[in-house]
Amino acid sequence: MAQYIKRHDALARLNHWIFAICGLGLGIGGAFMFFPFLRELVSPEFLRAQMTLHRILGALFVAVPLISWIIRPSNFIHTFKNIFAKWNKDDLEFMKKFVPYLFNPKKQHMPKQGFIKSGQRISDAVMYFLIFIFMITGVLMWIGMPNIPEWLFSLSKFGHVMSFFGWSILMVVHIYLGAGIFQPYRGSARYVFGDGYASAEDAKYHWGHWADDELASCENVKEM
Amino acid sequence: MADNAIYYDASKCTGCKGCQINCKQWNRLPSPLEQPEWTGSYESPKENSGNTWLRITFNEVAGNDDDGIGWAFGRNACQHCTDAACAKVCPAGAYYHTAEGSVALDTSKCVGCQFCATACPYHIPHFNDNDGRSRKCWMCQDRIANGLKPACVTTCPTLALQFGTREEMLEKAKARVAEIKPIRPDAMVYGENEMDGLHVIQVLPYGAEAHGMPLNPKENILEQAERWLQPLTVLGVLGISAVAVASFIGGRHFSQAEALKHAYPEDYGRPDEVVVEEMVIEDGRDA
Repeated sequence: MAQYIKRHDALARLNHWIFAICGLGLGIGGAFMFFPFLRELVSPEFLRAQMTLHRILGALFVAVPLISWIIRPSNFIHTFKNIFAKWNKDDLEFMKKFVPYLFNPKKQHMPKQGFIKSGQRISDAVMYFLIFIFMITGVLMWIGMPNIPEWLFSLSKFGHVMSFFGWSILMVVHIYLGAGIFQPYRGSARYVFGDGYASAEDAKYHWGHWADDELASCENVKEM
Repeated sequence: MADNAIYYDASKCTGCKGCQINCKQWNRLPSPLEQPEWTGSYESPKENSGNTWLRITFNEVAGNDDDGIGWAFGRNACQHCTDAACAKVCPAGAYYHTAEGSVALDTSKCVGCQFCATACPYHIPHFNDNDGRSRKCWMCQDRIANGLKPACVTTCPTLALQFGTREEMLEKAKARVAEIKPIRPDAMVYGENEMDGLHVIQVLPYGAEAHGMPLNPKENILEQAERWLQPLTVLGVLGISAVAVASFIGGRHFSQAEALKHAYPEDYGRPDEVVVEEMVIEDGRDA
């Protein structure tokens, strides 16, 4: 009998599904507005439809997590408590070792981690910040001129594309690590796209402190 | 086809707004029925819009000893730039340069993103709420393609507005400036080099800014920065992908079991035969 620990509940996983689908649609659609070489491949009708879809997906992208946080505020508290948790010695060591680990995980042994690894805490903080900028600037651009002044529209547009720049790079990292393309992270997509459980071995390897606590309490542990 | 331009001589303009009205009539642009609020100025409306493509601006300036106060009229409409910022930023390719010298907008292609409005140094394209698309002066492309002059030009009673080849209009403007320079020392030709050359050539007796024209028009700086961000984003994604590939190669033959032995030596770090032996002892104790 192997032990499994629950990482994400159904609501959090549904959120991630919606985030992933909307994020992909928003990124691809936005790229057609942003890159001149992509604009030339499509018709104005496509762009017009894309703009409508972009607004629908944008609204979902923002509304779904907000609603789910209202339904279950504990998820909101849990998310931000972890992101802004105080850094300990292991966290600092993790960050020091992360780059060598990325290129040679066989030789580099990482310190134990809490529910969210230190690197991911930085990445999540940046991601939420970018989502916030996307949201504010997107809404302002949707309102449009003459309802908002031209300088604000212009600033919003620039903020939106700056966020897109950061988002594009962040998403490559997120997909490489999160989808488990990086060998040590193999199978990690299951935690958010699958049943939400991590095997005890995986949990101990990735989030040692969290796994030790969970295995000791047995609250979220099941045996299969 | 000739490279044409509209000539506007503010020293001859009387601010009658005939051009403004004829623009509306020819292009079938509706006027609002509500009474505008009195602002103390004859300038009306106060802003261009999706339905007002040409507007005469009124500005009072200090004159010389003989005339006290002078009117610096301005012609607020598309300048038909050679280096048109609107055409550069339009994601749908709705803006295009015509053979006759104008920068026209194909509204059937416009997606209503309003990017053109922020890019334009003259703040000319405006969103039309009725159809959700941008609008601006197109130099009456339908008229000039058929050998006629733009509607605004045909109605000017003082010949402040004229139309012809850009070269001729420039010559005319330079001659006029030379003529009025003794009494209007700030007089200047506007449109020769701005934005790589405009297709509206103006005689501005009180200098550019007095007539509502920017002295050194430039495309919005944020739009220029955005153009840098486009290749940077591609490079950033390619660069980080290259790092991911290098990391993937470095991660070959990784074994989680080996890593766990290091992290949890008491659970995973001992040889199997020792663990089995201990289990046998444990079983014996239980028995």
